[in-house]
Amino acid sequence: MARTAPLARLDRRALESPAADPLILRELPFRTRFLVRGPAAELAVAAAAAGLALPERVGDRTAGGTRRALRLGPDRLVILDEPGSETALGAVLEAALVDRPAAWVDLTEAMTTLRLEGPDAAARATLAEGCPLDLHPSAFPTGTVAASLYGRIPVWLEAVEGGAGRLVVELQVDRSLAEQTLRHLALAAREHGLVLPD
Amino acid sequence: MSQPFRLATGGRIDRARPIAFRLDGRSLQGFAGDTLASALLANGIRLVARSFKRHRPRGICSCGPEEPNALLGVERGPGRFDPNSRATLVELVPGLAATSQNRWPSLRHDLGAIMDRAHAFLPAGFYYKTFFRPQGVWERLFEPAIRRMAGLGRAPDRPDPDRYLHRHAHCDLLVVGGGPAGLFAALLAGRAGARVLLCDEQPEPGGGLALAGGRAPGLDGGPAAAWLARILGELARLPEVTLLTRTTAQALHPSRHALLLERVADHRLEPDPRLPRERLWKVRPRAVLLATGRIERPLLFPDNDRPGIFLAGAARAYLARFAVPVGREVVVATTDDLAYAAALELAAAGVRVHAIVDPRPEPGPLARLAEAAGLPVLSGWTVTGSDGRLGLAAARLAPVGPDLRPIAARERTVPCDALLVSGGWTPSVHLLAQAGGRLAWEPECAAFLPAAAPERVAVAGAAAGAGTLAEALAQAAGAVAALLQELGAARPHEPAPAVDEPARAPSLPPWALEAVWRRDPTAAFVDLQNDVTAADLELALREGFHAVEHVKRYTTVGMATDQGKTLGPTALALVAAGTGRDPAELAPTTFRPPWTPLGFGALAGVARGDLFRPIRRTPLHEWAEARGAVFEDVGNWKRPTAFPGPGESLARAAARECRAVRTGVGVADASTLGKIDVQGPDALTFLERIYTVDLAGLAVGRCRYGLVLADDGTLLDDGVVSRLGPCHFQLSTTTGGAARTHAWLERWAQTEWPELRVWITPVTERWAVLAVQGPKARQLLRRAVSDVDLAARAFPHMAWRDARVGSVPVRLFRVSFTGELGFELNVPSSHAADVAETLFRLGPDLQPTPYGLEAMHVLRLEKGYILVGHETDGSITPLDLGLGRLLSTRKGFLGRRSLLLPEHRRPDRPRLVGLLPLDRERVPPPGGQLVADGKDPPSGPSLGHVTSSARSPALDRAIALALVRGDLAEPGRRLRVAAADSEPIPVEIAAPCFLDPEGARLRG
Amino acid sequence: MLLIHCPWCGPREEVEMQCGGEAGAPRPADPMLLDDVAWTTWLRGRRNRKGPQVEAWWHQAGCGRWFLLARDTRDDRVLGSWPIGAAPPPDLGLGDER
Repeated sequence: MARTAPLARLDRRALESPAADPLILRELPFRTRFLVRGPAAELAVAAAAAGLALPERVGDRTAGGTRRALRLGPDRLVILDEPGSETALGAVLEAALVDRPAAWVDLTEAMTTLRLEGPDAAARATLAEGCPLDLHPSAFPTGTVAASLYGRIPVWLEAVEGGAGRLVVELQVDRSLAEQTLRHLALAAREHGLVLPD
Repeated sequence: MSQPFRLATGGRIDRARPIAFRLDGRSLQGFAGDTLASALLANGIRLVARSFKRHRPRGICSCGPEEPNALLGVERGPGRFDPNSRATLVELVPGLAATSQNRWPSLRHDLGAIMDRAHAFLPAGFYYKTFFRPQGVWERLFEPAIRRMAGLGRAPDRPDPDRYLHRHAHCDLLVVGGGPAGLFAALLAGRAGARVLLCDEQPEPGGGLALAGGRAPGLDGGPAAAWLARILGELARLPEVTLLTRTTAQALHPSRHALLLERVADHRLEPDPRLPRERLWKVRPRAVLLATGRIERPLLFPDNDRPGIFLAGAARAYLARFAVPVGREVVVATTDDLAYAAALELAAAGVRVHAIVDPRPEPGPLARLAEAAGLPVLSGWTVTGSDGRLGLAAARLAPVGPDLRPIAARERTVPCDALLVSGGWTPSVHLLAQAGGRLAWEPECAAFLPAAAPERVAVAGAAAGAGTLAEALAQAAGAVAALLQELGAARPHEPAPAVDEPARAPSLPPWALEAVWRRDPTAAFVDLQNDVTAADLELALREGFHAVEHVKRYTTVGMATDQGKTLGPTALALVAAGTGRDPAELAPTTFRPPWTPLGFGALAGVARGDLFRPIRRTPLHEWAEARGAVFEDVGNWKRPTAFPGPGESLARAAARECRAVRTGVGVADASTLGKIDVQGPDALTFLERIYTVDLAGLAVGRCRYGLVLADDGTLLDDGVVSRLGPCHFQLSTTTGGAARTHAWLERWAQTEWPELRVWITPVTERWAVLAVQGPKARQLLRRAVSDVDLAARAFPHMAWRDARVGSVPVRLFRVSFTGELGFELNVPSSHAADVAETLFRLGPDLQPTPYGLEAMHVLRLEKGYILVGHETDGSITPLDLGLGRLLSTRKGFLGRRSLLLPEHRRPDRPRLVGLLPLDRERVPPPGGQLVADGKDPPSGPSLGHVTSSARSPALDRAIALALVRGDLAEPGRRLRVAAADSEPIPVEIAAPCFLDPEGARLRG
Repeated sequence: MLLIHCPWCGPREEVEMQCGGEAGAPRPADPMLLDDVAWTTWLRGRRNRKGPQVEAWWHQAGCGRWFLLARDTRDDRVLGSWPIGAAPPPDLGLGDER
């Protein structure tokens, strides 16, 4: 059956603004997304089952293959994978965590991903228009994750990749709140230039 | 030449770019780089406002944020109108149109000026004494009249087309003020590798140094301008230093939270539509250095408010930055040395200085320089008054005796078009005081100086009382070193530059010349913007207002938009003197943010229009839209009210939808109901403590309706607990209670019972929910859903099953909020629209009917199902609602103990009942108060209120639920519902369930 | 706006948090054993202390953890924070406020 992306209805053109080297903002829908809860030892079990090391500290991330693990809290680990992998990843976690003192929830359908990429300074400034975290490269280098806010909307923030003056960040946000977040990001990015590819 | 007061050379304006603007419709011209104030002065325009109360002519008197007089309405295009803009901070852009305020019909001919002659009848406290009776007349008559006569500009009447943003920022050191001390501090910190944010209110940094002209101190053996350029060049090269100009530090809150307002767009000669108009910076610095400088004090003398009277420092700034001498024939009256520099610079620009009067017998070396330059320096003299009609025509000068009393017999009147005054300087300590720093009176400076600063906040330069530039720079270097050390950063070792500046003699505070203002206290202004005079202060003191805060409120001194920045200390000193106290015994009135007025747009940021709050749409929104839904707001959600057909009213649509559910099958979007996933070995133990009902016996695959109580016994939320596995549950909550209930669960799990191994996750958005309700619900679902046995025996009421719709895995709950056979289909969100359409495609013969909130509301009301927030209000217990059967007696749960309290057992507690209006067609309004039956007009105490009401299509009559005093709640009793705009509605109490009380339909 | 030090995430803005009010005595194990006065005293009684006060805070928009925090109610100074169940940092001036 057909799937509908949370922001499919949005008029993207109206949010764009011209520039030579604009920021690029797009929705990446349907990303596989599991939240694992439990003591660190159990999170490590879940991460290992997914082929990942446990990010040791809150704010750290590990990656391997198509998967990434974000440590968002002492008892909170998010495992991300490509769209369409929820059955496989769910089975892996089920097998690893059955009868263990831990919990896992498939949030693939509960949230969507907003991906912002472009010149490093512009991307960070755009984020800082809504996010209260210190986003200076020294405080929020590539590979950093955090649960925080954009405006008043809770988001999971990840500095996905960067270097050479470029930055890619992703925001995971509840599906019904994604439009507000995207519109706010677009207002914030307007002065730097913004395109929203379909 | 259209700008008669503009010099041919000098200044930092661009003469190649003339800029046309208007004042009250009159076309004028200035240059790029001008402010509105400097352009008006260049055009020889002095009179720019009428005063607040007495409508006295007023002119520009300062060059900065402290300006009390020059408040203008400024329009920059359609919808871009700001009243009460300080002309001194408005930068000139093409097409700018300024309008003067508080005058009619015009500035020059203001009929309100009669108020000045009536001033004897308008003393402090005039309103309080005059307009307090007769009752009601104030609102109808006095207030509107006074508001017309007195006041500020008109509010804009069109939506603001601009955008505003809020930026979060972090740094090691925030430096407020880009004067020499601030710049030097930023440089030292930047060289040490610190992340520095420096903000300055003006378009160009440099502070007083940039605004001083030829008499500016020398630095590092060269001119100040060269030093400034060198510093700014190096700051620009330091990657971790950010310099924000046109950025006002509006607030410094405790724990070093700073709010800076950056004016991004208003000054741009070529607008860039991509830019926001203003940006509010929310800064979290690890340390703060306040280098906020100082504000010059005017002198206090009769008629000290005429257009043409300028602060001496402002006159220097207009000359240096804009090449505008504020007058041609000038008198200088001062009690401070720096005004001599103003006189010297103006004289060098060709202005005639007629006299420099200074009551101090021994002014500093600058006075000697003035004398040497041939300027008439009159030591031991002062200004005693001014003359003129719409502006200054002459200054009155007189020598003073050793007791500082003017010798009237020797008073001279000196014609002039500008009078420069200086009564010394007030350190700007506002932000320090806001942040919780302590101030102490310093007799040397005759001012409040920082005495104690909050952690990692320091003050340096003129704001800390530095009298010379050398002292200011030394303070800045010391403060930065100390702050960086506290931050654990490298301590910079940088010598302050050598400063070449004349020594300064102590200045004399303006209030020292008491005999001068006493010549006419009713015209000696201690607050120019609010028209408060020395006489008003004296009256307040005579009437017993001795505390500074009381005097402030009684006279309104210091309460205008300028907050008494220029004359506030003088007013305080007068209060001290009038009550026989030393100023040191008084505290200044509380400094509160913001430092200067700011617009609502900046405060709102993006939170307006569509972004005022999130608009949440369910995954079924487009489906409902396509089916003709009319939406309403429920919290932040959009939910369908009903699905009216062509020409059908909402009420008729809802009634049709109700009938469809009772006789066929209806389909509703219930996605907004909260869903919470609870897992863990101790999940059951945890939920047993939270819910009122027994859950221990709940088998996997079954659901149970339960209540969540606060520990005081009142109802927080209700919902269905479904057991997904031995250690796995899903809870449903009300739409509005989703976040609250999640917070409630987390709190107890983490703070009170951390030993329980349970994890709670909101999963509301993971599933879209299609409620499929009605006698034909099973028939419809059979066609769509596979992998599940829907037969009543296999799938009873209050059970759930995994199933599929096509290839989509779904969770099917057999629950009902309608009283009919019903299912709720939980569908992965992204498949929701597809699954909904499948139902309709597969069942055209069953005529599935989409139904909305209104029908939901009626259907549940017919059954007497409570709705949290309608039948409850935070004070209602399950006992009040007749839900005692949901209270387990087998276990402890939150709220149980409180239900035993006598207060919750009183017979007159509210009680949920049904109401049947005697007139079947009259629907009692929700919230309507219940009163006793009878013929009299409703009176006496309320006996309860209607909580929900509707016309029931199933019963073909009006019905309602109500909370009634328990001792009156027996069925059959007649009461009346008071209605606001009609006769009371007679009703009869009935059981709070109007349809199928046995629940046969439900279990079908 | 307070800057609140989350024991796991470091200093974060107050907007990410929810304040749960004064951290009082633990809930009685079996409230049914208490008389009305003892029960309502636990339910409603708050010290509302002038000076250092221990409060429960929830890092709602962050790591999701509740923790304890000492705040001076006179000037809003945040004195320290620590996980529930852990001992408060020494020298917070809490006196018997634990």
